[in-house]
Amino acid sequence: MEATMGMDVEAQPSPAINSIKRFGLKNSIQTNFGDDYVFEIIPKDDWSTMAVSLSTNTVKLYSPVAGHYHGECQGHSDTINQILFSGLPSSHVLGSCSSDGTIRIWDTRTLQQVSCISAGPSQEVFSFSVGGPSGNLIAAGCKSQVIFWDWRNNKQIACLEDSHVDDVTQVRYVPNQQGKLVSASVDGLICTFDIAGDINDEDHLESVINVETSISKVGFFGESCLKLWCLTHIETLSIWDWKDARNEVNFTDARSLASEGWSLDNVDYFVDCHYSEEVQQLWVIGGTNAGVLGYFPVNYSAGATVGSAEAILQGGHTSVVRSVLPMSRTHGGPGCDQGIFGWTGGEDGRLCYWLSDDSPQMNRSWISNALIEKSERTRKKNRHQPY
Amino acid sequence: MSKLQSDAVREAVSGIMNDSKNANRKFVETIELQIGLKNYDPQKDKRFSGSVKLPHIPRPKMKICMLGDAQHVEEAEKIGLDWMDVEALKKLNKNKKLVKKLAKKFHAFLASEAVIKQIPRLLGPGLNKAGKFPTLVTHQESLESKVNETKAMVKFQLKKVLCMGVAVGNVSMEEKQIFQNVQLSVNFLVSLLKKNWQNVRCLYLKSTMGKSYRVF
Repeated sequence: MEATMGMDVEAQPSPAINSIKRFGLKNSIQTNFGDDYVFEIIPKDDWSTMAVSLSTNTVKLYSPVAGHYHGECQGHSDTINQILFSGLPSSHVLGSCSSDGTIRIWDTRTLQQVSCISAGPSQEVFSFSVGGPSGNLIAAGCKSQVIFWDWRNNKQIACLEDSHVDDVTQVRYVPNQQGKLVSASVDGLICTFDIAGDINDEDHLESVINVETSISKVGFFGESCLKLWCLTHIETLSIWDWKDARNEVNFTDARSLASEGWSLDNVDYFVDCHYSEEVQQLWVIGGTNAGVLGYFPVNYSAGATVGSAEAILQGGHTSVVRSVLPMSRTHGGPGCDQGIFGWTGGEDGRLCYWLSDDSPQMNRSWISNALIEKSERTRKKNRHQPY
Repeated sequence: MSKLQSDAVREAVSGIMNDSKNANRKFVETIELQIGLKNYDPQKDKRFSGSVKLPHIPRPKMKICMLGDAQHVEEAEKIGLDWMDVEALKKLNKNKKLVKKLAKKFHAFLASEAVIKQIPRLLGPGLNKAGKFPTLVTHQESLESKVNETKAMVKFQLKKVLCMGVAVGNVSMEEKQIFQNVQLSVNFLVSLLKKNWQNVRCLYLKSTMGKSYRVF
């Protein structure tokens, strides 16, 4: 599969414009016929299905390759805040958490609910994660508490309620670190807990990072997952060393920096961050209110910058984009064209599937043009649209 | 491009200041910007919440305590800022009641890098629980400017309803300063809304005890 990597790498001219990779819409699915939004798109471990959470309080299942609709999981009575496949007991169950105060487990084969954990009558669950030293702990971020259940018997194991004073928007088990959990909240704090043994607030709070403003999303990246990226509700980006609770970079004006990295409209918000281990590169995905997306590389070493857009997805969405799912190359499947990007979903209720504008067999890597040169003719296809 | 009419804001601010002078309250009233949103669904749309730094300090009487290393303690002494060093924090012995008492004494805390790392171990989650976990101060910035920065930060948060308030000043400030605070906060908040001004139904300015003035 790496055979084509043997192509000559020509030196790229410096202006970043030449190395922007543009993607065109290949397929678009309307998930509903009302005003409902797509919130989140996640793949099953084997990529046979992808789950899509909607503002209808349901989760729909589609095939990631052809976009065929498989069915819908209904049951939540309020906004679904997060869905996940990983860490759950078996490979065909899906988990979802909601502002109705429950975490529900669904069998994706039958679309039936198989389990329901309730955090309490007036609770909301904003985030959850499955893991822990024995892999059986569901951690949930609620209205200032972090609550733990054992999924084997749905028993509540612990409740950390002193470390946050506002909605806990993210809980994440640290990858490759048994027994460490990170939580992030609207109160602006990222807390790291040691959850081995008996969990309590007093002894288990290991470190606290004060981001100073309401946190939307965090993610681990880098070698040994020692770094944490953090996106806030005021659309700023910061990078931290979570173990030392140390700030590495703070992009307070991230939207302006990103906007300078392309010639399209101002970047209005950020959807997510993606990290590639292969090329050790972090990107922040910025979007416009009109639905255009860009992948902006983040350089967090000396001379921290947000670089010029390396990939642009335009012409698919007509409103704010809420989720981006890049497809793993190895799961593209034999029948798939190369140059696949993956799926995106947004407030227009659409799921969009993207392919690179260049001819399919040319470029296998959607990651960065700078790494691989393609044939000259692709350069002449000037799709640059000044506004 | 701002749709906020400068005249409307100026008149409102003058009005508020006059009302306050005439009423002669026994405390310094806070001036609040009240925002009413439209075409926004709190259940579907992205959360509207965060902190913003205003150009002029709206709460000058904010009590701040420096939890500092030797260098910061020295700086704090010079500028008349309350402080505690690691020894003093150790003396609290992680006692919940004492930590709670400390938290109540101050509006906010600053901490040196060397100290902030030790806080969970020295104090437990007491400052977290009070919503007052310290903000980091490095040695690359002046302590005084960090204090001012902290005093200039205001929080905004939209809950389940479509209106919210943000503190933008107080009646003892200059009118021009209040005007600038209003302008900056409005433009910043509008930039976070997906339909920008189309998401704003109305804007009012109001002092704590005074009547409200519509500015949009």
